[in-house]
Amino acid sequence: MNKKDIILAAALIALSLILLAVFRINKDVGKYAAIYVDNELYERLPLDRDTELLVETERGRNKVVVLDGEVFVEEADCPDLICVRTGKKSREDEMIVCLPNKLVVVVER
Amino acid sequence: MKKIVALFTVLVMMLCLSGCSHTLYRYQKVYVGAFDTVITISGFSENKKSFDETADEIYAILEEYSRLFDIYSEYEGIENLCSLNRDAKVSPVSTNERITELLVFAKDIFYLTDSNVNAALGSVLSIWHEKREEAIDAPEKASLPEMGILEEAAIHTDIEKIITDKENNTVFIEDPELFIDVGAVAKGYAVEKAAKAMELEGLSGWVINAGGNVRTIGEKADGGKWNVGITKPFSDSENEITLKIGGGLSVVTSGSYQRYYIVNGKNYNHIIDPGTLFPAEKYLSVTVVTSDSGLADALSTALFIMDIDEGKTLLEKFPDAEAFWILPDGTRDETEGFGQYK
Repeated sequence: MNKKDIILAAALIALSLILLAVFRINKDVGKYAAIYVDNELYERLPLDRDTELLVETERGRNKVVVLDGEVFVEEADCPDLICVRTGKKSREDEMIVCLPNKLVVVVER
Repeated sequence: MKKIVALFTVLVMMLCLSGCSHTLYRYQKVYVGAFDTVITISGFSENKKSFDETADEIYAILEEYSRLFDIYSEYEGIENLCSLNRDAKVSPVSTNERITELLVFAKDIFYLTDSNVNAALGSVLSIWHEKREEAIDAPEKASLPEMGILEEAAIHTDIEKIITDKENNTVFIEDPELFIDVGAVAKGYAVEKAAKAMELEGLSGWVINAGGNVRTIGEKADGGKWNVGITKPFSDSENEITLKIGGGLSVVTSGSYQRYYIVNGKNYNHIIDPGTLFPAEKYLSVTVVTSDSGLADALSTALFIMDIDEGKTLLEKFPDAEAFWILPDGTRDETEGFGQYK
């Protein structure tokens, strides 16, 4: 084992650790906020782009916001406002539900 | 140098084999609509498309039952409990065999739960339902039903007045003021039916969660257990405890925090004690673990109404059912065998 071998070994180990870390982190954090209305896909918003989307259907109105990698419902016309109170979501499989308007926002990979 | 590269390559391959050899991936789909709740279906499949097909199949079963057992609205082309509540008062009417089957199940449940879960309590429940709905529209005008009106309605809750004929699939409601309400059992019953159908298809490692009514289907491929969280009452996403649940089991929680309305700062939940005609308020929640989801649903409601000692005695009739109570002061109680799930 000469010096080059050691450097190579160290570099490979470092690379492995980085790859491992990247996979670990990506496992949890979702990439998209998928919006469903009446169980049909309405829109998929990438979580890495700040956006606002007003979802207006015959059932009602919900304003979905993506900000700093998180998704939330900013305002809605439903009577219970549970969707607004649910707050910000960013992890895979986390969801926001508005039963009266039959709207679901799910964080997907 | 070559040795190191070779060793590294072997390591990477091993990692890949252990990590990539599973051709099944976990997916999840969320539905709203059936039983007025959020239904999450998750499971393992080769790809998203085949997962979605199976999940849609499960949801379709639940949605169909939801329509059949709906007491508030009618749907084109089907005779459901809503139309039955109106039409079956004069003479027996023929109905769907799944409705007669459910009503027979509900009658069994009435006697099994010491009459705490009564599918004939509709006239009383509808009064509370109306008050709750009014409160959602105008919280400042929220009010309680008058006791006299509740007592008058309670006269018409004799489950024996619901006459089911399983052979001819007919139902006759002998008391014109009696209304069927299967809210305490219908969802669990439907989930059980969907799960059983999927077990027959050989599905394994799947879970249906219908608004907190959890049913596992088959074992997980790795033989592991599912983590099923019991919600901390009145918290949004926190869990009180997390259970370890194997395949073919149901976990159902009845909670005072799920559906309620507020009058003068006091919460009135949706689980009505047939004895007092008022919401049961002995616990924040009661969770039941047992194999049959319909039974779990009914037992969690019954236990929510009963004293702990009565409840524990009741459970002696169901050797594979275990329960977990959260009391208003936050303390907990559980059956002897509940520890196996913790």
